[in-house]
Amino acid sequence: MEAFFSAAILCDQLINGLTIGGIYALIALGYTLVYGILFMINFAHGEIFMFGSFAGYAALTFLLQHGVMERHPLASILAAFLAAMVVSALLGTILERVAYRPLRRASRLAPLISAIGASIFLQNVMLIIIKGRMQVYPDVLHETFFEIGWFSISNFQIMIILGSFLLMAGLYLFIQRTRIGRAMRAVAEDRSAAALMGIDVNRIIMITFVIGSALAAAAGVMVGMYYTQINHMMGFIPGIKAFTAAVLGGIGNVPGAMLGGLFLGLAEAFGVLFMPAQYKDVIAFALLVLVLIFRPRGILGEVVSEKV
Amino acid sequence: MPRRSFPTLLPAAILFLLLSLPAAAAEWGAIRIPSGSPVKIGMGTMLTGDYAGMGIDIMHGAEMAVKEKGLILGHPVTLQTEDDGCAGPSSVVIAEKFCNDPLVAGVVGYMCSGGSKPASDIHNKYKVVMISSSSTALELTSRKIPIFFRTCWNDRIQAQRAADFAASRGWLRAAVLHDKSDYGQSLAEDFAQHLKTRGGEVLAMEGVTRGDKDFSPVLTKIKPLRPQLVYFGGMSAEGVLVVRQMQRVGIRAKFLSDDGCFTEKDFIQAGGRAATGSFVTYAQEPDPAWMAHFESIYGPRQTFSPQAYDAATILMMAVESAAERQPDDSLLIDKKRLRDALAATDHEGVTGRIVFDVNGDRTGSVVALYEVVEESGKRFFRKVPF
Amino acid sequence: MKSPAPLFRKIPPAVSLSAVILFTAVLPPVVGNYWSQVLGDIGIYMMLGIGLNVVVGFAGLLDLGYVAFFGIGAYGYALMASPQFGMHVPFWLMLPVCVALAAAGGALLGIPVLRLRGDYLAIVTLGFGEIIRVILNNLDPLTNGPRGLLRIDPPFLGATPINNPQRWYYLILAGVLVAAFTADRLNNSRIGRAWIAMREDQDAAAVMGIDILKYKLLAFTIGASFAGAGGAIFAARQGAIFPENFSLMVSINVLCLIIIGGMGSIPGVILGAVVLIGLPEMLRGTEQYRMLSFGALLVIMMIFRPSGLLPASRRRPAAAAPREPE
Repeated sequence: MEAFFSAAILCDQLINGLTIGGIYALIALGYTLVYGILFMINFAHGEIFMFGSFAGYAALTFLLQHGVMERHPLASILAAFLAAMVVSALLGTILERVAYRPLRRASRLAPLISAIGASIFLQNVMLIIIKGRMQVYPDVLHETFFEIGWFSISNFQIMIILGSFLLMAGLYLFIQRTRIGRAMRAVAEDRSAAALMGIDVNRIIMITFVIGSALAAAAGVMVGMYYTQINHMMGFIPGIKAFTAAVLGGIGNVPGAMLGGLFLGLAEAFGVLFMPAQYKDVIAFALLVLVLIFRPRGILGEVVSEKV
Repeated sequence: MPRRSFPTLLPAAILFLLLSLPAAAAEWGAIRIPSGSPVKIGMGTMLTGDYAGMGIDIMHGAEMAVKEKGLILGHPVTLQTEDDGCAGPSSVVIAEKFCNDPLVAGVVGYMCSGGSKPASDIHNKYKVVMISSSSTALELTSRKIPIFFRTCWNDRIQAQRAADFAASRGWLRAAVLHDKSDYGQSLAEDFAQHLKTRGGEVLAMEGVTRGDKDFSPVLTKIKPLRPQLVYFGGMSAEGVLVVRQMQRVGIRAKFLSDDGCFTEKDFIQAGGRAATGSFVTYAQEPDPAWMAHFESIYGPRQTFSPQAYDAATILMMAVESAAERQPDDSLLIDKKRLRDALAATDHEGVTGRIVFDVNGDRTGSVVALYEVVEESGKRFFRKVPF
Repeated sequence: MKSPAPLFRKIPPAVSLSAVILFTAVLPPVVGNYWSQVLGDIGIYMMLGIGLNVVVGFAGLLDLGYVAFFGIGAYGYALMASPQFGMHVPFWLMLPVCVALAAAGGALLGIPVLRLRGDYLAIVTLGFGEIIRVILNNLDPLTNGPRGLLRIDPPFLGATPINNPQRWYYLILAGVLVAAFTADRLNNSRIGRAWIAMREDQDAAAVMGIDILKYKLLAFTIGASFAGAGGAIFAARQGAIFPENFSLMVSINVLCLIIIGGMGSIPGVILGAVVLIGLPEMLRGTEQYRMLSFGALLVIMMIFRPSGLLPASRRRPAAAAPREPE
């Protein structure tokens, strides 16, 4: 028993937790941004993550076949990220336009059901494309390990933790400091007032989807490189967990989503030490239920507009 | 809507109809293939979904056998494939479909034990024989259902062989993982139990969730226990991730798994360098000539196509021996005779000699050990003498 | 809003209903065992659909974890009527018990979560459904985990067991009729009217003195009890159940058939079940396209025909009601 709690193990789980937590956080940001503006859970967000991962895979495979990947590994990785983010952003925009925008005035159930439908549709599109076979990311980099004191960390883990942190910081600055960011906050706070102020609400909504999808795509490429197996269902459970993270931190709240994601990742990594590992998923679901019942506003509080 | 009369009339009518139905036939009966009609071999396997690769491979094995056979006593033989979804409800529905199809003589199926179990009950009702090439759960033969046979082994044998092998190599401190499925968990538990009888120590027994990718937490949890061996009961989708992440987490132990990981594409190729040095249990390597022929048509094989090929072959052989040609050129296949013919099989298949014990299990099927080795840039399974 | 085809208006309802009943009663011997099995599957989904319809269509609550109650009913019966504990309680005795168990589950889940907003409720119920499945899969000493419960007893009518597809068809048919009847009575009762008021404008309903929480809880509980009955029937018919039979896909399938058939409308649910469960069986071999079209249909229906193919004649179902600020 004392072996479980040795410093080395705790440090290892810390790294595990931060790694998966960073990924949850990136996906959670997409949920939270969209919810803050449209009050709807973009149920298909997990599929946007999945498509991003596949786009990155396609890019890397293409580069591999043309001999580019071995010679310029770093550039290849960047190209994969770029390809993924572009594809997902496009997908997110189409999704918004086709499945959500027509339902903005409809009942509250309709967009959610439409989102569920879109999610199922996208999963099965990919299923047909890959013929049900899981795909494997090409090995772009070799995983190398560093021992720093008690910590054992790999270059991949560093990339994910740093990368997600940078993206999150970038998003935060974007929302706080740029004009578009301000417009996004305005639309989230009070849509009609923002429209009256001359903000093109539809455009802002589209930008929100683009950003959220791009972040999810980045997470998708990271997951692809780190775990190497990707399939058409890979977005489903992470999608729910990321939504849990967003709610944990306070829906609509950008720093909240980041915090929620990291918290969930750590909870899973450490939680496994105390229970049989097959219950790992239950941690997320249980957290979700508990938070929504006892503190629905989340850790940092919600940021959603006032009710009329 | 006439609400008053409704409640009283309807139940009465239904009861009347229910009771007037004839009892389900318990005798065996016979199958009649009219002149000019094909003899159908049913095939229940997974065509879409997580393990579709394995399922389609199974179909190819049976398909090859059926195409090679071509005719039984002048009637064409055809294979009718249905998607059993590797689950109960779909397998049951297809079982009903096959068992009620007057041209189906027998079924090669089903793919997963979770589907074969309820399906075998249905087959037993209609007395239609079924031979599975991949359902390895123990209960399928421990219940003594006369119409069930299998050309694969049962899991207890596989797990015990694995434990014997581990003990023979001196890997007595083992951490056991499984994917919390019927198949994986049964294997893992049998392995653990048998290893203990050989003097081993099971340091941990943990489950992972199918579909999950992140096993670092559970692997980090077992790392301080310093296992010499990690045994994984489950399929390649999770197995390959375990073997990769074992390396990442820094567990210096051998990896031993079951036939679910015996697959070129989804384990060796997907596992990369991390898969080298892993061990899996599987049947004797099938006849290389057959393998070359199969792969020239269908590409690299997965796991159970040889067993499916053999299953279809012996089924057709049994039909051929049990069927009686009638004057009008139809075929009469007495179901009991068919079953007995199948039970009496003694055939040299591509997977070895096929003989069944009284429960439908294959006797003498030896489980072999394979290691993933790398030679001149190629990685493949090599049989380990044991 | 179109009401069911005007042609039916000319035929007195008693005659058309009797014709339908006669038709459904003679189906099994005509279509044989395989199709009787399929019809039985459709029937079970109809029962589930009618039950979920109470929750979603009547009361306007989106429950994505409905399969949990189905599982409770199924495992409830299977544990008491199989070799697992050596108990063999008769089916007819267990049926009301399973209904009660599922209802209790619905109440227990409902009490804490019904205060939540619509979309949150959906996700929480989804999480609950998944938790139940994981628990079923992991509580091996009780549920036998992934190995499932086998050799479940069939129901007996006197000395005759109900163990072939045709007999099961009739039992399930009776179940569907009872369910439809019950739901229809509910719809036209005071409870039903409270649900409509609640669905259309929650605040106005509250002002009028309707205890929102109580009626939500009632909807949840009653809806769950239908699933409990369906679960017991499923377990008895299959003879073997596994945790994987109770996945999210079941909840989604039931939701799809309500949405596409027509929320709040019982004929709509019945049509939805036939279309969504029966058609794919007839079109075997196009599995992936089936789910693809489900997904697309959901989106299309929401945009163009949110009330479904066969809408409820008098009332606007929840999905069609204009969005209210919450």
